[in-house]
Amino acid sequence: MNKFFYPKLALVNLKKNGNTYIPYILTCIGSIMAFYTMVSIHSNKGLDQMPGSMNLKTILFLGIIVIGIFAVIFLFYTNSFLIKRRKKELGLYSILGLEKKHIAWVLFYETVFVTVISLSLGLIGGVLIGKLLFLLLLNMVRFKSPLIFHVDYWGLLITTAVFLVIFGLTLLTNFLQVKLANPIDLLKGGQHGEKEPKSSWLVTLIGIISLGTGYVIALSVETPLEALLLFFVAVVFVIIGTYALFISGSITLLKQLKKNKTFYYQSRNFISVSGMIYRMKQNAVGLANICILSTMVLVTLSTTVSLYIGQEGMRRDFYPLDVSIIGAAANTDFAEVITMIESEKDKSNVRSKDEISFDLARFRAFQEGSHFLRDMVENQATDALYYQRISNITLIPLDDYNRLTGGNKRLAENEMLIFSVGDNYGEATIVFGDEQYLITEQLESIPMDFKKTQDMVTPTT
Amino acid sequence: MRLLEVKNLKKIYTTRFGGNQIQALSNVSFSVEQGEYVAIMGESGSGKTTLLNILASLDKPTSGEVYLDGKNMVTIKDSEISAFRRDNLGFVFQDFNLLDTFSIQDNIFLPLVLAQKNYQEMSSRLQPLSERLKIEDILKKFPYEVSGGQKQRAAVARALITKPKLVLADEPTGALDSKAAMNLLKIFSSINNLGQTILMVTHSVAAASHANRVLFIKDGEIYNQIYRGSMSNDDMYQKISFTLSVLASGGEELE
Repeated sequence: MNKFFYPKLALVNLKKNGNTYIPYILTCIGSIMAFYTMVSIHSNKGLDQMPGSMNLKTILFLGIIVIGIFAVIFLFYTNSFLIKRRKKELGLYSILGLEKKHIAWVLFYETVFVTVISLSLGLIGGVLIGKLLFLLLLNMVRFKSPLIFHVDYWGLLITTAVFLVIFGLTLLTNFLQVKLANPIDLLKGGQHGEKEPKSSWLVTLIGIISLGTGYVIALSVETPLEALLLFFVAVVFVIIGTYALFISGSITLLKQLKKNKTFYYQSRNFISVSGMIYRMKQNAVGLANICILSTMVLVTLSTTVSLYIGQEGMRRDFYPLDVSIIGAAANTDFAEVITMIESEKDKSNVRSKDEISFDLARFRAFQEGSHFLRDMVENQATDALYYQRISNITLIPLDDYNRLTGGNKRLAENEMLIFSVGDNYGEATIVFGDEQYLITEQLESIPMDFKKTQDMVTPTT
Repeated sequence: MRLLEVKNLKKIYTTRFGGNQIQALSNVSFSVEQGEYVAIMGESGSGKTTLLNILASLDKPTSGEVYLDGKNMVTIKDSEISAFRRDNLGFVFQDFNLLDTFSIQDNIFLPLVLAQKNYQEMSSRLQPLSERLKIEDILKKFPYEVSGGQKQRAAVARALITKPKLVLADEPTGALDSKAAMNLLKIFSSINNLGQTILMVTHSVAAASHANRVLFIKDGEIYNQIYRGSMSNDDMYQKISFTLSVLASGGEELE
């Protein structure tokens, strides 16, 4: 026995089936590149020194999982498609004198070649594309310094391991196909009368429910912090739902149409419905893949674009003024501060405009209806809903308010004007600790332009 | 010399979940001498294909024995069966089963490649064969580039190149037009004259009329057989047609 026989035969097979195997290998290379790029950015050391890197890392990690799931589904689908096309060939090998054991060897070597080619090309491509994307990321976050790109050996290792497992599993399914079928079936595999596809109400129901759940989750998320984790859950639900609906839902629907005799036995519907049933059977997974991919692209594009465009707006909200100087009331001589500012301005030849100054008191409080509690703020639970109920409150004297607006508002003891960012503050009173204040007016705007970030209250003095 | 001997062959198909049992072969016994050319005829559903699959060692009988050259094919081990098939049997299929990804020549070489013969031997075997089957000109072409008759001749070459003891043909003329079919049958007769044993399953009276002997199978049993003796192909044709019509009408009165 020539020990190079099976590898040689495998190589010949790959070459002869090039027009189907080259796209398959390209698919593998693409998946590997995408996976490696994500892993390498995720594990980049420089990322740790970037502000907000934890969030970025979490998102990247979830992205890795999603890409992993998708790679598994996608490669399995393409592989089963390939092996179906080659059943006749394998059957012929079996009849002309190869044992199943030997066919398994041939399949094994084919997988080895595909794996080696796509892993090596995929990782090389991943390193190059990863570098490119990394530069793009750097450019987008406009964060200079510690981010240096390096070949990530850990990432290479993980990617290799993950894809070895995937390829191993596809090989196992191929083995099973060969093992379970006898040569006659293999030979007739290509021309086997197609069985009417099965459909199950259960799977359809699961599909509808999980697709619905996914979208409900995605749409009902309110705070960004919640979104981070729930978004991932929603994505998984949507993926499951899409596959289930395409694979089973479509056929269930078509079968229902078929049951409706008056509808079905019309020349138009007769052919299209019965044809569609078989076409859907063959193409359901492919169509689902396309749907999921395009949904992902849409979601990714819209989030990144809106995040990117929203950057400037966010900056303005957080920092409405170019320069702001805040001092603690107890030990600051404000006259001295103003002299200092003026002298600094003179020294560096800077002019200022739109200067405003006012007294303020700021604190954070935990909202319970109309009660704002200071105590619970120290309780650092990381529950997203908890953060949602924390308000930043700024108190400003009425005198300063009137001075800045040129208005002439009047307040009695224990009365307040209120300006609320976002939703209107709906209550008639507001309580801090033991003291209750009556709200006389909801302001539409305030000159300090704190906008989105702080709740703002103007009390009497 | 007795090449193939089939004794009390019985095959019952059971559907996957028990339940229905279908008896494809109830009791089939016959034998084939070295150098014979035997046709098996029968209506669809009579068990022809099952019989052929068992003879091809692609399927196992429920009971009974099949001896090829004195070796029992039924008890042969799974691990040896492929090699046994490769060394002893040649196959010709209705739909040729040539691989579109290989040239005609590579298709013919396929069984020898799988048997790991060296190239010199392969080409020395191919040379006389391709002359006899008149396929020298198409060796470099691909199956989709040649006609059905040429494809089937290539398939015959692939069956013969291993020098099998027995060639099994499953409706070899089924996918051919009458001219190509006649041509193929002449080839079968000529290779039979050179001593090749052939067993052919067919629907076609014309195909069967070329054989030395025709076995008729009905409801899973051998119903009748016709020996050529000194009959011409035309006489043979008449006799087969007559037997088939008797067979179809349920005929109890024959012989």
